[in-house]
Amino acid sequence: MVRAQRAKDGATGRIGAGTRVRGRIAGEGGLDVEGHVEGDVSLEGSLLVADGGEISATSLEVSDLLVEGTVRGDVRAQGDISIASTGSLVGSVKSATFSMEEGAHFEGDLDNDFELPAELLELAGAGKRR
Amino acid sequence: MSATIIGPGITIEGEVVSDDEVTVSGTVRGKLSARGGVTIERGAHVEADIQGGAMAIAGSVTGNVVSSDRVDLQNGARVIGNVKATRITIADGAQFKGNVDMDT
Repeated sequence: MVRAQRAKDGATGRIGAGTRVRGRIAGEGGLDVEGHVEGDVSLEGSLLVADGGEISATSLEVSDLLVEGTVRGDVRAQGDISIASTGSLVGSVKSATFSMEEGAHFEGDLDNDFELPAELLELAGAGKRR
Repeated sequence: MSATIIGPGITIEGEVVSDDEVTVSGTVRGKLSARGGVTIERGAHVEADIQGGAMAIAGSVTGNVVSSDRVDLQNGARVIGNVKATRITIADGAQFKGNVDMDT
């Protein structure tokens, strides 16, 4: 999803492979991280952590996130969070949709608002009563 | 390696250190240091000491600027701080308040 957006709109910002940011990144527009970021990110836009890119944060708030590199920290996305086969994400995750490719690494809690099919809802309800 | 671009909607509060070139169209508060060239575009706000290679400044900078090469203050630039570089140009339409040090 983020890759498709990039192909269409491009990114407004990029932290290059040889660049290290220590601090807070905020704002709007798509951001590609190929280098290292130590600090929180709050972005009205999509965040792409490319293969080789790394973010260590307490919290990340973005509209969409694609992890092809490494992310440590709790992530909240309004839209989609995807972890590619090369990607690693350690932290709690809350988003509308979540997906990970085979080979992806994920450690943490997943909190998504999605509706269970009716038969599963009954099972969940039965589980609670017990 | 690809250059670093801080887009027009983006604010970084902290330290940016790069082995490469850095272009700022947004806002940086803190410290900016690059081994390559630094471009501060028109409309950009930098409240930071800047260190780097060749620099082209057309935006607003509050802080000391140290270049291993040249500094060009272009039309639209607004610089408050000291500038240290081997070569310096100040274009018509650039505002500058501070000291110049061209001592190599």
